[in-house]
Amino acid sequence: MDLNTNLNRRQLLSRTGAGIGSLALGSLLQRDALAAMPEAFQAVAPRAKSVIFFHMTGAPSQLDLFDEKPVLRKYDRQLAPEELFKGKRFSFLRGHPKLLGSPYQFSKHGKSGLALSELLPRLGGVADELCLVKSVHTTEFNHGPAQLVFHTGLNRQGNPSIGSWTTYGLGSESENLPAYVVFLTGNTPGAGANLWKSGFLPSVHQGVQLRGEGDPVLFLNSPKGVTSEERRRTLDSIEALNRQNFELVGDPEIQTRIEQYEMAFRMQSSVPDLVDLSQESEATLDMYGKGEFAGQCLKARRLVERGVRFVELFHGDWDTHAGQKGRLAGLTKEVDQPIAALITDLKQRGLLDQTLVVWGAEFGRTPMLQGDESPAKCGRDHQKDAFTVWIAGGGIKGGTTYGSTNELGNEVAENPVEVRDLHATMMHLLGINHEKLTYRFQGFDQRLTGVEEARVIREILG
Amino acid sequence: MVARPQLHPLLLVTLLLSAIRGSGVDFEKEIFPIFEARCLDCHDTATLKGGIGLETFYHAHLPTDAGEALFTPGDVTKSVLFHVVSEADPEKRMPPKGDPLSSGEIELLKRWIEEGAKWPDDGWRPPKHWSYVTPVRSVPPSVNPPLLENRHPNEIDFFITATQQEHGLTLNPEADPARLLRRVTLDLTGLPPTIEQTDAFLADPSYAQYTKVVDELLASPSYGEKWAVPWLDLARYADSEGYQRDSPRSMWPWRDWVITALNEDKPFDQFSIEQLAGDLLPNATESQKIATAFHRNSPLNLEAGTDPNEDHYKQIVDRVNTTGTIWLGSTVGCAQCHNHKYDPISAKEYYELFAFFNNTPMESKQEGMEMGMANMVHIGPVLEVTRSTADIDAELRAEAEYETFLTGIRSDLLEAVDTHVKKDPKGRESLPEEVQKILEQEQEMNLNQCRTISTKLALKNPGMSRRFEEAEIMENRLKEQRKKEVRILQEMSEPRSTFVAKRGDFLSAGEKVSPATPAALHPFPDEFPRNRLGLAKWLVDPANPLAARAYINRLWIELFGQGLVTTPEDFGSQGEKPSHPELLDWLAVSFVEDDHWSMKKSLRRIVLSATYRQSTVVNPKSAEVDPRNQFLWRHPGHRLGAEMIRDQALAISGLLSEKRLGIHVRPFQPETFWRKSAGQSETYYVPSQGEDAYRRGVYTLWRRNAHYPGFANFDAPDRSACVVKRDISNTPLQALTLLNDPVYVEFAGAFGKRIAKEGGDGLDERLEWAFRTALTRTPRAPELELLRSAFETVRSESGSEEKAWREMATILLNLHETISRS
Repeated sequence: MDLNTNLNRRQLLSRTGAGIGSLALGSLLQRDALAAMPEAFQAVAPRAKSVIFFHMTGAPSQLDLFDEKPVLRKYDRQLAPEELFKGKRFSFLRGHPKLLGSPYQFSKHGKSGLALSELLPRLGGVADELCLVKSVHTTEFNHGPAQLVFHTGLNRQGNPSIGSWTTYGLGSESENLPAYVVFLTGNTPGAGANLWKSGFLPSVHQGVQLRGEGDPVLFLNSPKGVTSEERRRTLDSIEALNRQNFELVGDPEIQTRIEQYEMAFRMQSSVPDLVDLSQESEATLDMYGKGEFAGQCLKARRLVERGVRFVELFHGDWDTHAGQKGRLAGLTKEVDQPIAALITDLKQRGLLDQTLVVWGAEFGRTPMLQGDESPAKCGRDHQKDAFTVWIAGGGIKGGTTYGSTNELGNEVAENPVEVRDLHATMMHLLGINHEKLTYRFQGFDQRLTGVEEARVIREILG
Repeated sequence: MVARPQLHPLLLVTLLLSAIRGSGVDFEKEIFPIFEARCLDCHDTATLKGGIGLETFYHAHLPTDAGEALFTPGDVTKSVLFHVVSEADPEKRMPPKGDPLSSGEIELLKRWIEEGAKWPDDGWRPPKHWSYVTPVRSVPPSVNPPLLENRHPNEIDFFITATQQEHGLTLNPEADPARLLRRVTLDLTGLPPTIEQTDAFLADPSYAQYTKVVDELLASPSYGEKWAVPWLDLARYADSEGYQRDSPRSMWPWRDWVITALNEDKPFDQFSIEQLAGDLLPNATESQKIATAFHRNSPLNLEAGTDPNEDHYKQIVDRVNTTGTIWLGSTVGCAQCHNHKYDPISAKEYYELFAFFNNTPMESKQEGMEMGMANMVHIGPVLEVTRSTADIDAELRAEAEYETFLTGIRSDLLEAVDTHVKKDPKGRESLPEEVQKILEQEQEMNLNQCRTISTKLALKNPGMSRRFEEAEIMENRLKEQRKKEVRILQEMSEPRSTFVAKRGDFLSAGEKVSPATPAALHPFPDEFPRNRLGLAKWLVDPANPLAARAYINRLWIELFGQGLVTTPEDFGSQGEKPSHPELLDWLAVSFVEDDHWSMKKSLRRIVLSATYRQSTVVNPKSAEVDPRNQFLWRHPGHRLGAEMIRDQALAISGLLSEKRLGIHVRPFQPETFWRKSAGQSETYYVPSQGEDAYRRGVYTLWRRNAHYPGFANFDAPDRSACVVKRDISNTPLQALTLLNDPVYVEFAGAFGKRIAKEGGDGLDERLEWAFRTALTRTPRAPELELLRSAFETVRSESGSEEKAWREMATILLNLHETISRS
């Protein structure tokens, strides 16, 4: 598989202010955004060409899903040892909290024998594709800032998201669809659209939200009563006048404008086509199951099939401070089947080895119990020091675990992974050297992974 | 006591010196060679890994990125250098590659430190960067006369053409009068000229007349509405908090302050001082206090469980960085975590700047801890502002709107109640007493009472709960109008201590610092108070070479799409050098000395230049020499900003409201776009009614996490952080917006009707009128021909003239030329 074909041209185009489709190179005249050239940041042969990034807004409990802690279960509802909370800051926990053992059973799956919680039965079916990274930690313990770190590397607003960096680096392979697409189920994440904004990168690199209600892309549909033929005719008139203007003035931006109107017209049919799931077989639809999120997972596959570079799916709200038991079961039920189906589907179509699937959240949850002690009402607070992210697909060693936490799961025991290490690894799998994909802003070459060292986690690469 | 022989002082010195030379470690011969052989790969002046430099005296004496001293003379225990080379753990030991230093080498380093770590000063200092040097006004170069003959040049043009000459370039001819009028009107007021204004100018397109037009435009109240926008971007002004909660905040009185100050042409130094420290001015007026809301625009994290101290720290960081960007053109923010890698600002100096801002009260606190809630509430200082008659008018209108809405609810509710009791012979008397009591009030029932009835009777009335919520939103808005408030800065009587936050972590307090300005910048005069007011005065002190340069550069960006320095946020050593350094300095000095910081005068000078007035036509030869148009051989004719595009469409379609200032408005946007968040009072987006739907963009509600989509698609930032230059992108989403956004569809419909009504008689006359209304200039024959045939096609197919005019309107509103300066 040669993913490099035509890369240079695409990348060049991606910086002309359009990023999508084939554009007039003349637009270069106007731009200052041409910081990095492709040869400067291509690290290795890319292992993946698209990314599907799952963000479980609010932070799921790794201790009830992926990171089994028998010791914690043993000391369930007993006072937590002091080192778990002394001198540490939490959002809500105060005083001397108790421990909360997981009420869920874990069992081994697949040839690899990866242990997963009973809440994720379907995911168990694709366990051999997953690499559980159990030792991720972050710097923030509030949702907004932590989500920003997880997406942009910075705890404040203003930096580009990882999806924007990816399309900035690699452009798009789709002539008819935006390069970076975002889906939301449930509450909008706290940090909002900043999580798919392009920050200081050219704004063409921001994610485009595909919506469930109304137009799938804002303003996609022609006004009521305007037929496709009428629209075409209007566009022809606009184009003819723009072209006359171009011939007199010669400004390449006019040429780009003409191309963008054409792209918009194509999107008016390509996007409805994309979201039309009636084209899928019954078997496929059954495999993904019902519900908004299931539809989005299926659309994610259809997007990467069509060459879209980065798809992100937010699902919420996993912020289980209280009533964790019922809520967690409900949330996992919504995501377990569709995500497992997506992996299976990608694999069946030969797309999994060129698609990187990453599942995670802004942080994890504490082994300490929060709130009412009753099994139905209790919950867990935010935990920044250790949580689980899993990765599957392009270039990843499946059926494996990387890193571990201590007995109670409050801290990383071995192989700590910073969020920026995760970013560096994702970039690496896309064939990008994260230290070299830069954009000049505020006087220096900014990068996703920031100024501190970030490490590609080579141990998890296939 | 035994008397010791007295030594002559000179002899003592000689002896000591000989001790140093004789038995002491020789830095040059014994120490530096170790550095050269084992350290400089990573710690030379070019690399400075970890903020550690061992090549020069200067770098060696700076604290490391971690804020520690590399060595402390006489004390190896406080010398990082010694610790890292003698570290047992090979993972942590330096150098990281090769063998560890020999025990002999380590011993030498130890002795050298114990003996006082003598390091002769090699005299190396960071070179003084161009932007830190005081600008001087050089004599404008003379140019070959024919080049500017009959062009009414000013000094700007001499600088520009001189540089062009060096590259074999020339200015384009002057833009034709209609295009020029359109350009300057849009640039000064954000609105296109009317046909009457155009006709007047075309009757006398002389330079003298042009000057007159410029002066009229500068005096128009629309000027402030247009020029406020870039300032609001810099000031990260928004009507919501940002972050997770993103709840509404009342800051719009400050936005009005900016518009008013610009229209009054408040000099930039005063404009700056009032915003940074208006509260500290003697006998501060209400207006001066409102001005300080500038720095209360920082995002505020009200997510439950946030540490208020940490968020306070982040806000001060935002204030320091924003101040640095605007008045120092500098990326001081880089020094938040470590010494600035490239510019002469140390981490300590960063926190000295921080200390100026750190004396304002806390902005938020946690509440409900006893219930395990940790909810966050805003507690920062707020000023209740005197309301203007316009504010009161607006309130009355909003009240009437609310009353109408509530009346609708009441009537429907009463009807539903009657249906509910229809089958009961006792009628309303069958209802619970509480309900009956409320019902007696009939049309006087308030919202809560309506709600009570609906709940008590479990009335099935689809859409009612939504209407209740909408009414509540309107009620809240009304409250906001009745009490006009703005968040302001206030100085605490007891100053808060400021410490260096090691590696930018506010929990690791380092050295305590007091307010001071960076040593490499112009001195802080003794007579200035060491508080925000002093800092503000220092920033706009004529001795500050950066404030005026940065200002002029931003002005240039607004007019030409790119700055004379193409990295407007960074005038430091890593930024780009100016394309026209003498011009930049000439303008900066003129701004301060001749214009006395008048923003209108400096703007006037630029738009009067021949450089500004030239056409946008691309000359292929020039394009080959200078494809980026760095030397301005053409006017760049870049796309209009987000608000301007909408404002212009409103003006063209005849819908634009003339109302100015006041509480923000909510133009229509797709319902699915609004985002509700926890604790957020506004569940729905309730669009403004009447003319408030057609106000200028500067008055549009700016919600950080869901800012107006029609603006977002045209690169308007969400205003979460200071933005110096908006992107000017060209995307399919822009096409979709102009073609399909219901707002633009409405504009097109209105414009179509307007053409039919006001455009005169006959097809060609109307087409020409429509074209001139949108594009100012007269259509060329083929353009007119094209429109005529498009019109005929639609009319003959649909049989509807209205539809055909709407088609014309849609086409005209979507042209590249319409949304650009041409």
